Amino acid sequence: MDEPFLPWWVVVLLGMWSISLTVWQHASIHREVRMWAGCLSLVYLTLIFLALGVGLRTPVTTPVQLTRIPLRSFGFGLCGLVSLTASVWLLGRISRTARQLCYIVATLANASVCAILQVPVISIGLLIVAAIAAVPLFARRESALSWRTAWADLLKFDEKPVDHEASGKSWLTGGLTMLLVCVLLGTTAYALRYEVMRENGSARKSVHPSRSQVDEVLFSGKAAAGEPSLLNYATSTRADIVVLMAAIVFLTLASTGSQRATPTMSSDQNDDPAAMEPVRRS
Amino acid sequence: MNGDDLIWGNGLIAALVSVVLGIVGLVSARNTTQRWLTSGLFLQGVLLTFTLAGAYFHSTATLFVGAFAVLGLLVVHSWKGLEQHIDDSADDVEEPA
Repeated sequence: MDEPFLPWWVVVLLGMWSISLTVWQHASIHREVRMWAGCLSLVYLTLIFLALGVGLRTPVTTPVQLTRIPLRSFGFGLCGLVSLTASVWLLGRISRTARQLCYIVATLANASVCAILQVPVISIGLLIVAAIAAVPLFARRESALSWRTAWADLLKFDEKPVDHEASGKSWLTGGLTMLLVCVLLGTTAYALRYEVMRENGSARKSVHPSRSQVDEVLFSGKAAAGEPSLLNYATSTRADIVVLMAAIVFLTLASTGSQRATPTMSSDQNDDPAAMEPVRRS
Repeated sequence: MNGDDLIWGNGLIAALVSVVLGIVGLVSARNTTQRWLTSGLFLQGVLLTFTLAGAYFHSTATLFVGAFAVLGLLVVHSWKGLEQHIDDSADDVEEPA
């Protein structure tokens, strides 16, 4: 097995996703810019998952045929994408009703994911959670709340920066995002790589039974050996180093952004309406 | 590694991204309603992580113990926060057109 590596463009996608997510959350950035950044973050997220799902290093000789994708996989991917879309949208500066709608949509999508995984109890539990989250919406219907208004609220943004944003510290949130993404993805990559190497009979064998042995016990000899998938290539020995390097680069970018954001924020603190006018104009 | 494992592996990463989004939302939350929703999002991410890890590693112990514990926590979290967030009007933001 040759040593695979994480391609640089996946790291770039990861960094661009974090940056666009940070811009999407920032209150003092122009509304349209934020909206496009939010849409871009979804595009980057989709590309990252497509890269991990379709494959990283195998040359694509035939075009992907959507009709040949199994319905179960298609439903799983669709529900996961809807869930992540609603989660990203929930983090934006939208109204309270829109947040609750996003939360309900994300919960329903997660319930669908669990239903596709054939875990009905968890799916029903998530439906109960969605129903509980919908109670405040119905409780406030007497205050002239209509679904049309709620739909319009999805695109209403709050432009008032809070204290920690006014001091320019919100760029640290972007750094924290990237750091968390790197740590979690790196940890997952390590866990998957460990599993794959154990399956391949590498020197990293542990005392636990291998996947093929477990599959033999579970499925009566029908071992799911198969070829090493492209996910193996995404979770390689160099992946952790590359991802950590991406974290360093992003933190450097974040500190540069913090220096640029400071003068604007100081004008916010002085409550100068003339200085705020270009920011609030939509 | 078969096709299902590939899908569950990607789903596992998606669940971890959901956890990250929950943490980021929790850090930047400005009132109790936002904290309620984003902490719920975080718990759902953890729940999906357990569930998908159970599917990926074919481990029913992880699935039942971890996922059901988190599910119980999520239901209690939703129920306990319900009364508080009906009355919370701090997040009713209005933006000039």
